[in-house]
Amino acid sequence: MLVLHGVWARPGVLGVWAECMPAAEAAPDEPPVSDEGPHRHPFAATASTVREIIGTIGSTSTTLVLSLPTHGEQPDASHQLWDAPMPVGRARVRDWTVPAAVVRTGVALDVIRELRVTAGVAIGESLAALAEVADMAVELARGGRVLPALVPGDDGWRARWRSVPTPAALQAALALAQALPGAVMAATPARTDAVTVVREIVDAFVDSHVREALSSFPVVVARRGRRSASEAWLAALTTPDGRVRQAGEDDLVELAEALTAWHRSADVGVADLRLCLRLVDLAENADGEGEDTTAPAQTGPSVSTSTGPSVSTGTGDFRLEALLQDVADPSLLVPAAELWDGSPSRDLLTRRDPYPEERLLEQLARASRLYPPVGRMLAGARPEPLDLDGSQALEFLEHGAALLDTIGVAALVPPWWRESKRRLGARLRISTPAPTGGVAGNDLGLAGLVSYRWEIALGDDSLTAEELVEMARLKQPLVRVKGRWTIVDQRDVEAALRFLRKRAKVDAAIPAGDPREGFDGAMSIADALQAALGVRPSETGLAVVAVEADGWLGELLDGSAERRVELGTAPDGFCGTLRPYQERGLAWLRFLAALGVGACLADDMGLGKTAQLLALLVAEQEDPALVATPGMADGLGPTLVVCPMSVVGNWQREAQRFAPGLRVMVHHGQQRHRGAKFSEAVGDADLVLTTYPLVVRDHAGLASVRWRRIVLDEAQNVKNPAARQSKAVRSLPAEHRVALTGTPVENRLQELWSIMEFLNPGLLGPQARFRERFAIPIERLGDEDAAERLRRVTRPLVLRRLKTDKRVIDDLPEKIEMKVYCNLTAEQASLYQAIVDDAMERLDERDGMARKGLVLVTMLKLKQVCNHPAHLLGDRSRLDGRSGKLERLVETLEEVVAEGDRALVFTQFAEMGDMLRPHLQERLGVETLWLHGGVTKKHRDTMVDRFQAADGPGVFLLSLKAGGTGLNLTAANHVIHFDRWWNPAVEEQATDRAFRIGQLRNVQVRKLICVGTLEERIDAMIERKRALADRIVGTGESWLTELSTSELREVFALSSDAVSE
Amino acid sequence: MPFDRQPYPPYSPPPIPVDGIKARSQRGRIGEHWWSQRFIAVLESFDMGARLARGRRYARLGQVVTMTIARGRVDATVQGSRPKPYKVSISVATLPEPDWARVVAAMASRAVFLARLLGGEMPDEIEEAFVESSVSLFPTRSSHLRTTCSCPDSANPCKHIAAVLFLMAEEFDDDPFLILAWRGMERDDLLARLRALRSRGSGSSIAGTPASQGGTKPEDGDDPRSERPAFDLGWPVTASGPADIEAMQLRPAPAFWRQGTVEAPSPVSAVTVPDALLRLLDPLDVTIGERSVTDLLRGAYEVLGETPDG
Repeated sequence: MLVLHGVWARPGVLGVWAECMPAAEAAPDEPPVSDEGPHRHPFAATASTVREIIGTIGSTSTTLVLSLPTHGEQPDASHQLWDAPMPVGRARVRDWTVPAAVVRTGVALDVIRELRVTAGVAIGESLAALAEVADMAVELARGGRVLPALVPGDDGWRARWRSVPTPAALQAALALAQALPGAVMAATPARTDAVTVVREIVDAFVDSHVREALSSFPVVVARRGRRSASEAWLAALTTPDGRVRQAGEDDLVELAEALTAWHRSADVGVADLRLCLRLVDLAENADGEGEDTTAPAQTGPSVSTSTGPSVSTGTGDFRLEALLQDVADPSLLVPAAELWDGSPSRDLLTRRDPYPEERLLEQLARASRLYPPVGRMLAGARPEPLDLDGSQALEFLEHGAALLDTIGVAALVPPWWRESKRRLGARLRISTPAPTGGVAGNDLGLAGLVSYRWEIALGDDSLTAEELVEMARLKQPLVRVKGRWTIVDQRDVEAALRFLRKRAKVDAAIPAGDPREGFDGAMSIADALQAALGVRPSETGLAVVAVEADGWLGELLDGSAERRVELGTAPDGFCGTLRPYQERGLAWLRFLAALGVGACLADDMGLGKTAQLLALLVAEQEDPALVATPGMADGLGPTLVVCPMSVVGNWQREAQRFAPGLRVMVHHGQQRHRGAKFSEAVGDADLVLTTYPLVVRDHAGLASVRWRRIVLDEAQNVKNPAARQSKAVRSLPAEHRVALTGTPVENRLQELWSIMEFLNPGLLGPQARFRERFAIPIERLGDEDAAERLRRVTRPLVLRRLKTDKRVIDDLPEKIEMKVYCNLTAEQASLYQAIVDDAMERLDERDGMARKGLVLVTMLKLKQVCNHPAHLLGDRSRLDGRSGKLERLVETLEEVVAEGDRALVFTQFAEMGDMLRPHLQERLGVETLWLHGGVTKKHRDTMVDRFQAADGPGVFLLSLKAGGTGLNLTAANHVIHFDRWWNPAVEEQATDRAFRIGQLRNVQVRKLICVGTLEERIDAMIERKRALADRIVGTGESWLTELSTSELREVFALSSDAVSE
Repeated sequence: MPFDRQPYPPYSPPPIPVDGIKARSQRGRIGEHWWSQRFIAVLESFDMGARLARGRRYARLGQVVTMTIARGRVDATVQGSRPKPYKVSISVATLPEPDWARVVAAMASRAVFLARLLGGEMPDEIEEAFVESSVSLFPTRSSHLRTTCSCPDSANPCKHIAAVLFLMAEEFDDDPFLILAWRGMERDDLLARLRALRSRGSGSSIAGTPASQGGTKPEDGDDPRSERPAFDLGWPVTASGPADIEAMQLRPAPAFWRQGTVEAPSPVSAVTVPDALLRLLDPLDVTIGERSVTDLLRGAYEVLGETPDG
């Protein structure tokens, strides 16, 4: 495990270095260091290691001298370095030489961002802090808060872009400086303050960002021959190095001075007293609805109130007032009139300045330079409020406020401006024909036709033609409609009127009593959904703001289908009970399946997605009439489940347990069927299990089957829509598609698109358009409207219940126990087989103690193999990709960590724990604690305290012996038993570390079991015997030695379904 | 209080003093704003011929060693060819008190006057306040100025006087109150009188002496701008304390490695005006051919506003 640190190194470069565990990457033997000069850092990674992680492009190796806190002869380790002992005593600062990679700022931001998603390397907080500073720089550049400058250097003049923070941005920058980790400044000369360093970093990132952004938009077109110094400077503003060429020194000196003078006028400073401009909505106040009681009593006529006409506007609807605010006490906000009248609140401001009026005037003058209408407030002896009409008010809200913000003048706006804005739009009203027989007829599905009518809507209100005519007549951009201010684009009003007039003619041609009366026509449900999404233009020329439907489609659209569809109790052939929320999930799946609409079941981990899906398969098998597939008279086609290799065994076992009536076929491994044999085998199967890589490899065979349904388990595997396996699963034909995933797809838009494209091709439109209309506006710009439109369309198709949902919690037991089945790798299987063969050969020759000993040793070895080949071999060999159980553990923990939960992992083997800990840290990128018998009492208490703390480590690995009793670890809500002690009482006790008083959440307990091995068989024996007599199994594992040889043969045997590759 | 521009005492007399006051503008015209231009116009009306250009050159080279602007008078020393700097004085008639009373009353009737002055600008409408006065704010003829110089040049105004006049224009650019001070109404007097009028208008005591109000700021000749920390491009210039980094480095691990708690900065307003900064700044007096550099840059800001982050 490495911990990467970032350090700001002059001039203008980012240094990245890493601490590493001394054992993992010891520094090569150094030549003896002389006493002079700084020593080499004893546990820093080499520069090439660092560059391997951060990428070699744009980085170079170097050695930096860093001032680090030091105890004794060792620099302190960062808190993120595993096993870092906590030094005691006072630190000295000493210089150390550290190998580092130096990154140009031009690529540094990319480097830092990439690091955020790399697992296995801990990112030091210094890098995270640098990233925040860099983000701020980019934000400033995007907001135009930069100015070009000309600076002299040792090697000539350079054109540079420099940051100019707004007062608000400066506050943020000062906060960042305050919080800057010392490590960032370890290469900065002493006596440099953090604000200066932050400014240097911001300026460096601003310069490279702007240069990059403008690289294809030069300010002046470069030309050959003589040009002025100004021209040379402008050209250099967009070149990579900024070097100013071919210009006379004197001219450049002059230009630099002119620029400096120019820059000075940008300085607004930070005042104690701040001007605020408040836009008062007089109509709102006149209604008595306004919360603003400080507004002066209005004297002017109020043209419109809510009791007036439904559409209105007029001058004097708004008033702009100047107020002065104490920056240190923002609640102290005094209107100009009170200052001039010498009211008591004025006295409070005189603590900051004896003449607050003058500060108000001064800032009004500055504000009027940027936003001239403010100047009109200054015509009289004292600042007077300004009467504004709707369009002026809108201008202030849309532009003035943002402009004034840049000089630190705050705009106070009416509350409705901050609320979601009502917009004139089209509402699609759909009428659903009553289904003919059963849940759904064949004419349904996304292609089914429904009648529709467009309405012109404003929020929840429908507008009449008369109201629109009035809006057109007023020609105002801000209009009061039915008592609320609304921004109106006159082009929208005209489009709406055109549409309504045209339709009136069409309506007139339809005779009374005709079924078409009151409708605009018929469209498919898919078209309606697309209209709701906005990917299909509406006939009205307006954006679609709502889709309303009655009946089942309405329930589907508003996401209430899950609650309202008739509860599907578990089918008879389903062996097991469904919890109420699972019954609702089943009903929802059946509902969408009957419609032929692809469904994404995205319940939290542990809520039983597999069981719900299996129940659906059983239900359809029992009642094929529900499906009524055209052209499939000979019954249902099989269902294909595509899943990661590590869960094939689990699917198999879950299907056996819940749906024994289903004929399951595993299409995986070297022995899998191909060609005609494959078709034959599929013909005899109800459920076919395969893996993502095989969908690519055996695509032709899989595509030749007429699947009833394709299910993607862990559907995040197709998150990249361009990946081969994503394309391969999309192109398999099926009547119905289901995606299962535990990750919150709504927040990962690319993943959402890819999964939706699999489920219901084309529904979200082409990917490029989706990016442009949803992904970029939502992810980059935080566009709430776009997010809402997207939710509207996906809501019917995605069912996600969290384990913290009220309606789910009530259904869940406080402790959910699950057996998680894993497969062996081929390597594990061959080792396993060898041990069994060897033991069986010798077992007959032994008796008494020798036989017992051999049985126990054999069991031990087999358990080790099931854990990991390296556990058996004890050779410290590589861990990745060699154990199905380990893969399953990592995948499970990844989900745990992603949900922000914490887990206990128990093993009975200390050697296994020693191997697991670094591996889990690498793979998960989170700290893992490891409690074993060798840990001192004191250290153990520290670990427990750290784990229980609010931001404690995500994973706590414990040996069953050392950690199985006594501890209170209620911060965990997941318990995983990596291997088994086969003593339910002991396992129960360990589980109770998390499941005990103080635990506020449901606890999920998982026992990992290798399919087709002694683990599965002994587990089954325990389950059988537990019911009979606890005492038989209550005494450890020795009872196993009493089994006969033939019984043992059965227990140990490796069955054919154990392997998954 | 007289404005004193004497950063360093004069050094031994080389032809170009090292510590002289150099004009900010090193090429083109001197004087950025209309009010300093009005002043320069008077200077140009003196018909000085080549001495005008030499005076401008003197101003740019830094030949003026000291300069003090006071009521009705500017005193300066200018390094000429002789070892000892010449003494220059430029006098102007100050407004008589009754005139000032009218001007102040006129200013009190419209808040825009004081607002713009406090904002660092001479109000466009300033001359309207002087309408009833016997003199105008800006001297309009050379005869309004009485100039003397201790140099042997018989011509008056000489290049030394011209150099001082050019520098005065730049001073007026920076602080328009100085013009009023030169004409006899110093900033603090003006502010005090306007406060008194405001107070009378409201019938309250808002112009009461600051001492009685417990104000924390010193009253004497305070220019509020001089009290604020100096800013450079929106960043505070003064270090928050050189001991900072040492304190940071001496923090025991893991504090050295940890980022402190950053209060989430308020989000930058979603609506941004890409070229707001350009609009805020004074025009940059640099052109390429016919086009001003400010205009050329505007397009670049539009592009920046459109770049996605990342």
